[in-house]
Amino acid sequence: MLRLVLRRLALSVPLVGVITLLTFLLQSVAPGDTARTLLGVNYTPAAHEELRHELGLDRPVLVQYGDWLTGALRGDLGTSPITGLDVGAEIGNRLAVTLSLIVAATVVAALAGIALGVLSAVRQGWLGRAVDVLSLAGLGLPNFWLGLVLVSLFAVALPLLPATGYVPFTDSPGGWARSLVLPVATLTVAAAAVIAAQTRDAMLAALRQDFVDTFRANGASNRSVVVRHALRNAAIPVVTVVGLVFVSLVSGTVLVEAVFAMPGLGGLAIQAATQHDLPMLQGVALTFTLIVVVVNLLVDLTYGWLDPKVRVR
Amino acid sequence: MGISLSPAALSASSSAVSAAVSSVIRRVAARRAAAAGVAAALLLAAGCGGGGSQGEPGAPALDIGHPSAPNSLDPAKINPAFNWYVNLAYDPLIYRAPDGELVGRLAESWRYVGEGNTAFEITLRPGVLFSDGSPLSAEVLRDNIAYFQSAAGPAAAYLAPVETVEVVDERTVRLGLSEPSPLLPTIFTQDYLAGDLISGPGLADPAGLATATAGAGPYVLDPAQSVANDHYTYVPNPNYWDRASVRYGRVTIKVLPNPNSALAALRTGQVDVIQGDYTTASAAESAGLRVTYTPQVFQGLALADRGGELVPALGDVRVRQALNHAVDRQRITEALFGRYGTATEQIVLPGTSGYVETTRYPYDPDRARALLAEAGYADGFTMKVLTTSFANTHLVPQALAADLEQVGVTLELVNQAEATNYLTDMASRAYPAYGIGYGTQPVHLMGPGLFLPSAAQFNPFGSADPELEALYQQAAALDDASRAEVDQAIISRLVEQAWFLPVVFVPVFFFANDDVAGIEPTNHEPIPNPVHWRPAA
Repeated sequence: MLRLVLRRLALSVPLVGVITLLTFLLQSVAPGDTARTLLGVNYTPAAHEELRHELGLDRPVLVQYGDWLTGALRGDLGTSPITGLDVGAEIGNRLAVTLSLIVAATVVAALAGIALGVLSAVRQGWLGRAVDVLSLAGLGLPNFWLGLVLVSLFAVALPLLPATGYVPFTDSPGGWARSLVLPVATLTVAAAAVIAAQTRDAMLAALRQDFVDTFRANGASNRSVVVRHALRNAAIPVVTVVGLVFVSLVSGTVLVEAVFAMPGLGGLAIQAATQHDLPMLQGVALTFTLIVVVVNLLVDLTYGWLDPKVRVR
Repeated sequence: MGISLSPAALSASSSAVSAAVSSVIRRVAARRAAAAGVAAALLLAAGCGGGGSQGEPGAPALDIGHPSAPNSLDPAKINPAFNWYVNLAYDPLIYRAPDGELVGRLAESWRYVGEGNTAFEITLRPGVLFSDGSPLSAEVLRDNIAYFQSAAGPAAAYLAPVETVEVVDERTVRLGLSEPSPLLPTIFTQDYLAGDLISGPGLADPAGLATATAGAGPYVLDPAQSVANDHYTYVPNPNYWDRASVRYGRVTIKVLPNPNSALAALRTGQVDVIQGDYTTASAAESAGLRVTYTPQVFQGLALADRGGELVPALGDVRVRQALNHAVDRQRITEALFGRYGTATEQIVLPGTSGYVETTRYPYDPDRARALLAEAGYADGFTMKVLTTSFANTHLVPQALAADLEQVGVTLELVNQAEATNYLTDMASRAYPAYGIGYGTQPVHLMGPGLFLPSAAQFNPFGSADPELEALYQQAAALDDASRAEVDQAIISRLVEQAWFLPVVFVPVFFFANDDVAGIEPTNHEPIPNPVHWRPAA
């Protein structure tokens, strides 16, 4: 298992390097630059060139990237030339918001999706079909629209929950929970639908295998067959899709953060990209990449826990 | 990087998954328990109070929603779209009231010295302290002007003509200008930010100005109650020179990027005022909110290739005039903006300096065809037009394209969703025309940014018209009363030469609940200053 972890970590180093380099290169060739953002629209070409020089934007792109990388390796992600904020501190402030959303949405989606998937596979018939229809409907609903509908229902029409905003857990655990209910519900619907569909397929395949009949012939209870044996057998593809859902929610939070006015990393990424705030964008890209690396590692570890053969490889 | 939540979360997820599956198998009883659990969680959550910012005990609080977080809190660098964030903490030298009158704030008096608008004198209000306790003085004003000029922000261009700054006495400063600049009093108002003076200690630490305030305004940013890019809380400035005018114990600006969410926040009492837009104006009115608005941004086309480099037809003034005749402005305005829009063929608002009462381009497709034929384009022509969906600027070009098609002119619309990309493409000289949305300003201030050859962004081909430039120079040296007539001549010349194809003035909107009074956008002050809002009686 340790070798597995070390191998995965070793493979993630070039991944982080490639992602951050690509982000830097793509943003460098995108139209506009930081100097133009700072100058506004009433600028002269001379003032633009002078500010570009002052900001070091007229240096070769790889030299600029090298500077950023050197700082990043020392733990210094730099300062935003647009806002003057320390990149590391700003990301730290927003990470809790985004992780609260993603982790809560993944947990709720996994609970609901696996329950629905198992139910659909075990019961089949009209109940199974109803679950299928619900899953498809969940996939088809745009997050953005769903969020606005939930706000209209549960914040405006029935004033139970806040329409917008995020309350840090340390300020008020109750307020934190209230501020997460609607955005998490918004994110959960489609994610649960994906997990339910995958769980249903994997469970159907597991329940058709010979060992299930053997257990039943030996008098095992239905609950024991489904939970202890069939579900465990079907778990690897489900864990895979839960991992993918987590990763997709990293980008999925962008619109939801905007709808609910939550100060997370998604909004920061958009703001940094549109303002050509390269240090901030690099910091966000690095954070997202690290989140993906960690989640993939955890998924691999879960494989090992579920299937001893994986540990041996 | 603290991502320690993930392993714990996954571990919790695994056990939770088993619990969930068990509940499925336990059928009805478990489902009821789960439903009860969710309901209990929701009720618990609903019952718990949210966190909130603390203000001065007993004093009313004001919560404002703004669509975006500021790029900076430094008045020398902030984008004017974010003026509210600095209005609260920085008093300007001169305040422009909703009726257009200029009123002294940090400046006690001001005047041009001699003829020609090349020397300007400011006398400061005595006894003013900044929020950090340091005094306002002529030296501080001198240093502010130098800082604003060097900070390369939006105000720098307006202060470019300032060549010398002489400290006359401890409260008086005289500016020497390299060229006539007739609107320095306007530039020193809250609208253009150049008069938002920063304290001496603030100037000594310019990096700190991005995230803290150092002004002499009624409020000061409270960093302990603020979260960058989420909400900014201001509390009364204990050193403010006009304490009696401070109406709130706390003012918070919350960033609400989505217009529908912002409206929901207003309806549920999370905020008292928001800057709205026309897409939500009817909904706001239906919800019983107060909706105020004033026309501010002209939208239409800029016929930028006036020399005919890319599209020779545009080099002929008759063609540009024909395009102006071919568009039914009133119909487009009503279709897109209903009663909120104001049809226009000019780039200045009715009632402001330069506005011309007569209509030069009534909707007349036959006249348009005749002018095109006269210019040798009876069969029409095709041209690429750059647009942007940012702030819905693409809608008017889309609508007028149908009218132009009727006279044989085909527009190939190329849309850039992002404003930055749109601005870059606009300056690239690859498009003979572009869809424009431009917040109208006094004529003299629009010259360097919009229609003089030096306007690198909005005049990408460097179009020059000696008559127009001569009028501009003439106006620059005149006093306000005399300049109005020349401003009209400038606008008449722009209309006659058809450099633009304006269609509509789009308003800026403000939605508010009944708790706040004083939100009165006008032609003179389209973005009301929250400093002057007050609790409703």
